[in-house]
Amino acid sequence: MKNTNMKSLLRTHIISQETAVLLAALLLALLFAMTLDAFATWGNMMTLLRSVSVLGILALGMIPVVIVRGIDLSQVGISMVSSAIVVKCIVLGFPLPLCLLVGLALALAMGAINSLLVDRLQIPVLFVTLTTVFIFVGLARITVLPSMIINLPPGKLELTVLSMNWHGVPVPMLVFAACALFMHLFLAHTTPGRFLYAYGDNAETARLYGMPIRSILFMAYMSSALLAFVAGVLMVSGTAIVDLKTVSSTLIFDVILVVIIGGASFSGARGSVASVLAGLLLMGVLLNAMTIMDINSQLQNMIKGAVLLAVLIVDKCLNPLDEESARQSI
Amino acid sequence: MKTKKNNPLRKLLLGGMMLSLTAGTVAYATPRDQMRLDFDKAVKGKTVAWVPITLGNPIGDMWTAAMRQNFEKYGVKFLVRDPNFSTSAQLQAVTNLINQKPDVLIVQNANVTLLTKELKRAMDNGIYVVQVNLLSNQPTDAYVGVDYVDVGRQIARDIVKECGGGKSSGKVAFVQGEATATDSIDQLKGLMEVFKQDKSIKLVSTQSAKWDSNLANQITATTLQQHPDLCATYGSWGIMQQGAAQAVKTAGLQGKVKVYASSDGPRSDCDLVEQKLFHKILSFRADIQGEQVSNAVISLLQSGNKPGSKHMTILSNNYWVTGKQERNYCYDLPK
Repeated sequence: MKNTNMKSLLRTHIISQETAVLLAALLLALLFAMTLDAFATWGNMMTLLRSVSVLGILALGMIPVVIVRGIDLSQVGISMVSSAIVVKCIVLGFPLPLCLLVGLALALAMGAINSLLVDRLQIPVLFVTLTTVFIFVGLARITVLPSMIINLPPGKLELTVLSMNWHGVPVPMLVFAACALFMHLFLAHTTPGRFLYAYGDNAETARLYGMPIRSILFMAYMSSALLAFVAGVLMVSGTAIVDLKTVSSTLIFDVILVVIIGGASFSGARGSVASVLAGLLLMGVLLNAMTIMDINSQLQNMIKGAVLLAVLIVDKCLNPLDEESARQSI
Repeated sequence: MKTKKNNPLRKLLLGGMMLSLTAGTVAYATPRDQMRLDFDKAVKGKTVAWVPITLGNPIGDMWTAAMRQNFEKYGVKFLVRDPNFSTSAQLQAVTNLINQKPDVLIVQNANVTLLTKELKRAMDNGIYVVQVNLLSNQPTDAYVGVDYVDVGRQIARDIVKECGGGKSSGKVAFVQGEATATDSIDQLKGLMEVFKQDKSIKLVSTQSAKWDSNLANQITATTLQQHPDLCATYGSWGIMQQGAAQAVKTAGLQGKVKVYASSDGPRSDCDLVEQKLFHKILSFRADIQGEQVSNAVISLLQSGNKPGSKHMTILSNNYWVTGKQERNYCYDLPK
């Protein structure tokens, strides 16, 4: 009975998933503040936010795709290839603005290819982005990036300015905040943004209403590619190095983890910038505390996996798929 | 009258003498000539197969370039497979190569167990096996590489010299590659051996950055917040530790926190020493190691030993790089 009451409470959105996750993050933060030295300091909070900024930007890019019942497994691939092209271009002696433009154009081109394959050829999105990541990285490797690791040349480190602090606040965090604001305005306050939710809720009805279906999908995948590029450039600025091996790391799963924890769902039409913020905060607090406690990476992965599983189970209870959603969900 | 010069008998005799002289030269080569003839006989036309963990990073590319240069010079056929960090692809590549029966198989093990059965099978099939830089649980004809426990000891001794004995907070962070990777485990073992002897040294973090400079950056940034008086950070791989060096710089602690790295000697690592982002690196130079591997292969081919019958170890030297004067201990990849 108690359980049913809780369910109905959550379903009536008195406590949304975002709020629940945010509360969990704050409770954890409180717990760590009481038990860990130097956790609750301004410096550590800024470090925490700096370290999750790149993850947050990638998650912001993933949210429109998940809203339209998609997933972009090539996002980290796009991020690393486009930023590697920027570094390669700098190494070859071209000016930084031109290199950034080339990288951006390439990232958007990769996003457009994903969108075209999903929309025009109607190939399931999971397979499209799982295969395009290999094609993008493979093509880059055999053409212009024979080496997976490229350093910014010692005399050309202008890009590293983006990793510095501005009045005590990390620049990557400011970039994340700007991206979050734009994404929120786009999703919540523009007609195209609302179209994404309509399409995610019921693609067929959206089509019958005369919504520009192709543009909706195109927008979602282009947003993902654009923010992948921004995240890639920030990664390079932090380390002065680009390593394509990151493509095969667990970063893409961390991105999905943040998006789903926060309240977005693979059944579509759910999730917002607020949900990304909630998920990101929970992940950030967990990662920061686990690093301070010097917990080994296997246990860290286990804890992250357990958190995702718990959230998926809660999601399943709160948002059972109807027949139509189950059919179209990835 | 016939002259002596035109005497056909004389011509026949002279021709015979010349022929026997030539034949004598072939049959009785000087010892110096013979060495090269034996070398060519043992080496020329042989097939050597090489399976690293991945190509496309400085160490893999440098090893491959050094081996190719040597093998091509001696007429050895050189096969290279790139598993691109995939352990299953590496296992498959090794299995396929054993079936092709090369004369020598060179592998860079991803871990101590993955290839053990296949390496044994290779030797049972008459193939010499050389392991590079990480010895698996299966001993083979040759191991060429670094003694990582000793690398850990050497770097730890230097850290103790700079941070120990109450000179500083004594706090040290170790940034591992993979916590399960043998080179990280070995370096940590060597490190702990030395640190145990100085009570003032405190190892405050042993986080794994999974060979990723971004993760090393994040881990180090968090560690520095927790321990702003950190004396040194030591990374088990130079390229990964570049992320830690940038975190130290961003925190405004460049020069105060000493950044150490174990390195294979890519140019970028020496550049960072010169920029004072790295305090010191201990480099083994992958190009020299590539030469050592080639020499081990050439030795095995000439040894006449049955594959698997003897186990040879060739250790690589380590060189400290502390400034511009030691930049020759880093390598530039061939164009």
